[in-house]
Amino acid sequence: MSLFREGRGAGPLDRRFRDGYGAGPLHMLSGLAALALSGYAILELFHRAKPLEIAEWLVAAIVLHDVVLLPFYSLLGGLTHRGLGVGQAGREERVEALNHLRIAVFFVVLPLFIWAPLIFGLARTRYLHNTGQTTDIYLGRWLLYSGVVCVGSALAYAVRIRRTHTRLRGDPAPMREPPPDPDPAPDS
Amino acid sequence: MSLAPIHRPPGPFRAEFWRSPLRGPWLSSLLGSAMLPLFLLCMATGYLSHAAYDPGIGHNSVNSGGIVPYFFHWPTHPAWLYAATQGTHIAAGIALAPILLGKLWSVIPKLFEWPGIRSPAHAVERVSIGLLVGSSLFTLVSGIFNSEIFYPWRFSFVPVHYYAAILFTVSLAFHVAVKFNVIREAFGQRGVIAPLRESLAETEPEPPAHETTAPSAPAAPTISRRGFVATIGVASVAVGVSAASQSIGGPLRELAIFAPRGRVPGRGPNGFQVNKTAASVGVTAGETGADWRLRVVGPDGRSLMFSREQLLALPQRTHDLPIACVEGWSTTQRWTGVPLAALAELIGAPPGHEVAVGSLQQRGAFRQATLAANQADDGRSLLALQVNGVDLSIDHGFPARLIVPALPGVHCTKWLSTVEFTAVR
Repeated sequence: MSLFREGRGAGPLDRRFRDGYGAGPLHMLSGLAALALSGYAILELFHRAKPLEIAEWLVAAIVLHDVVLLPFYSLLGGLTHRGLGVGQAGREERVEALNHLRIAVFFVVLPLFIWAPLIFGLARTRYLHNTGQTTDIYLGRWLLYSGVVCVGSALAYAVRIRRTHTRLRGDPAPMREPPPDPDPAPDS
Repeated sequence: MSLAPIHRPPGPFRAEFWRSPLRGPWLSSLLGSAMLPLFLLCMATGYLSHAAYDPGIGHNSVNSGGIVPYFFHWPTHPAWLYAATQGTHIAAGIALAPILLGKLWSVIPKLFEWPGIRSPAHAVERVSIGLLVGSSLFTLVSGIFNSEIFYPWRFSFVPVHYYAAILFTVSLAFHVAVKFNVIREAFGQRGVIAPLRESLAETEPEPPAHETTAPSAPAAPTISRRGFVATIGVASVAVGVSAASQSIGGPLRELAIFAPRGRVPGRGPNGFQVNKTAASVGVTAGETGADWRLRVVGPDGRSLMFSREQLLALPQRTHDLPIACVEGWSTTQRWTGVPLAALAELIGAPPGHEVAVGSLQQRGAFRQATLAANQADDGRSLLALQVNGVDLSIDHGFPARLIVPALPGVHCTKWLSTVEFTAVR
């Protein structure tokens, strides 16, 4: 399952090596090279940042992953999933609702992944010193943006539902134009 | 050979725990392949970002003691070179973030693999994967935070970001080698983009196979692969364009509502972006007043003092040049002042000299900088006294600042106090 597959002319020695190591000699050499070079980079890091501080970052990353990211994924995947009863009758419609909900949530949270320090003013003083400006506008902008994303997704969903119902009613006589799609959520 | 106890722990260690029908080698391969060119861009422009400081001369190096191989002096053509390379570095890095999140989601069952170690080869792979995930997140997060002037650390950002990136590069190279055939098989069997044509109704899980992330007990799909990939793609483009707009400027800049330099901070000729206000580095109006003098030192040690009036009386030149910041933003303005070459002539320094400049500022690593000879000799390199037809504001470096084409903004030293043409080496 890798670039290091067994060569055609692999003899019994090669096979014994594979049984012991779990992959070919090329894998071992590359792996050792990767570990050696990584070790070098880590040493250089330890010369410049205290190991304790790197450990702090590691712990912070694990906590962030377990407390923020995993629940976020679960929210996007599983919980809404169950809450909306996907899998039962009317599945198609519910799936649409689920996606309009979770894609909106994803786009609401996305700026936080990148611009949380600005949005929550975590570096207020230093930002002011450096740029001569405050970070006060960012929280308001994020709230405004979140509102627009949610309304956009809701509108798109409403339009879809209307279309589906019109189609299901099977009323072909006065073939009306479907309402124009405002398409505010380019993702959905 | 197995080092694991007999019993497999419950929960995420069981294959049935991971039910998303989208997970599998194809999805991970696609996301990984989308990240690779962005990563290579980031790596190349990151290297150039170090090279642009010309770390081999003067006290320019901000990454001392390690291996940082440079073979050239940073050029002055085109003038937007650094704005482009650094803008690309930040934009590509930020565009990577949503894809990286998707990629980590797609491979998260691997974190709970059981047995944890199957063989020495597997142990090497897992250690390397651990370093890959850790260094990729650290490099990305520290870079993004730095571009927002948020420093939740005590270490020096530049070298730590640099060595974390080397760790990232090394573990990524090994990872791509290990997974090369997984990618080839996934694309070979399913096509590179064919699965993106499937609607939700046509979406089938990837066949579960030993040691892959394809689910053994998949739930019914609730989003097509196309929908998933499009969501990530739109997110990546949106945040990447947001970051890039800080370099592209114009109306695009104000559309980037969350970007740290998405605003035009003020009105008038001096109303463009500031990096480090005078107050923040201890430069006062008193020091920059009528008593201010610029000391120009020649290669023979002879020095001349100039008042601002005397500098203004010298022949002036005007050039449109960008100020480009390591944080990934830039802005082009019209600068007027005395060419460095004219000062060199006055002090009797022929072309070919490095130039060390010093600032009034008391704090900050960049209160001095050294220009390579090609930068000092370029006719567009100015000791700027005015911008857009008026005197510099104090936050933009009044009474005089340096402006050199393609030079990183922090080397375009503000509040100049000394300009020294050093002996030819």
